[in-house]
Amino acid sequence: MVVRQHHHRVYNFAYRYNGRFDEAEDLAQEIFLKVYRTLHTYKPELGAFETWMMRVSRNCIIDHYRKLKTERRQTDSLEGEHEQVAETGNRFANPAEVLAQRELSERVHGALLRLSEDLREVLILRDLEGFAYEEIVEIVRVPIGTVKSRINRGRVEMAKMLRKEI
Amino acid sequence: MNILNCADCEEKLSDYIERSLGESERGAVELHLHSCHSCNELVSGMIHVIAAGRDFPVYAPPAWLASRIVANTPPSPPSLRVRLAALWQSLGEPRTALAIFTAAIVMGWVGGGTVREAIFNRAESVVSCAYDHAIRSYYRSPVVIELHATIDQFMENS
Repeated sequence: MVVRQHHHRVYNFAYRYNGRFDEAEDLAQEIFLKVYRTLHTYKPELGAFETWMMRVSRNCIIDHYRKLKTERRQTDSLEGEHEQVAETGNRFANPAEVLAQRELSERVHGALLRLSEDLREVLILRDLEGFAYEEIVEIVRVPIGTVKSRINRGRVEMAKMLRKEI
Repeated sequence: MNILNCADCEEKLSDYIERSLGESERGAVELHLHSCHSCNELVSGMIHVIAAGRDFPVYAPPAWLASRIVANTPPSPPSLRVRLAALWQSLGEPRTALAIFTAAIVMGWVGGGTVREAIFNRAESVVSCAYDHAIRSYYRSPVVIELHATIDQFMENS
């Protein structure tokens, strides 16, 4: 039940973090195993299940990322033959707009993957996953001031990187 | 109102975009932005980044992924009641009973005379205790006391 309900989000979170579909699949598997093993530590009075699960996911992804420690080429990271859900596509009815949006997303994701780990994770949680600052504090376990300053630095760096590319 | 330089302004840009600055700070940022082309461009870039994040594509995981995860995740652990019931059931199985019986014999054999004597003495003391308790209960029960009193009275009368 938990798997069916949340695997979509966990899979996308993992993909956004490392930019590889194959790794996102393995990570999703690993994350749910960890969720299963640590389910008894979840306390509903301390916050929403989703926030807790995202914290487990984030820790799992970081552990995995640190184990690998190899630099990924962001060019091949955006390759894949996965079907894109119509969630965002519907708003761009024109094929040219769809293509432009896809290119923009790829450039943004490329810049995101070049950010440091600290900045990337909070930026994914805030701007891509839409979590509130308080929830990000719960997930990342750092003070709110640090979260805000990392998000700001991340956005500034991203904007600068994208400006250079144009 | 403070006059901000570019570095100070940069630190406040996210709060400025998200409209979470106080009035005076907001005014200071706007004042700086009016005079600084570079920071102005940066704000536009950051707004662009935030919008791109919101429009970021959501990918459908492969159809088999959920099934693979479920297949590789062990079933939920049984409750204590179920585990105790299973243990009780397993004790009743001939193989387990035979194993316990064999273990008891082997332990007795390995332990030698001392262990056997200890077990025998303990069993004897348990039986003696039970016997004493039964006798005491018998003589203290009201029915028995009344019967004895009636018998004594008959004997006196006769």
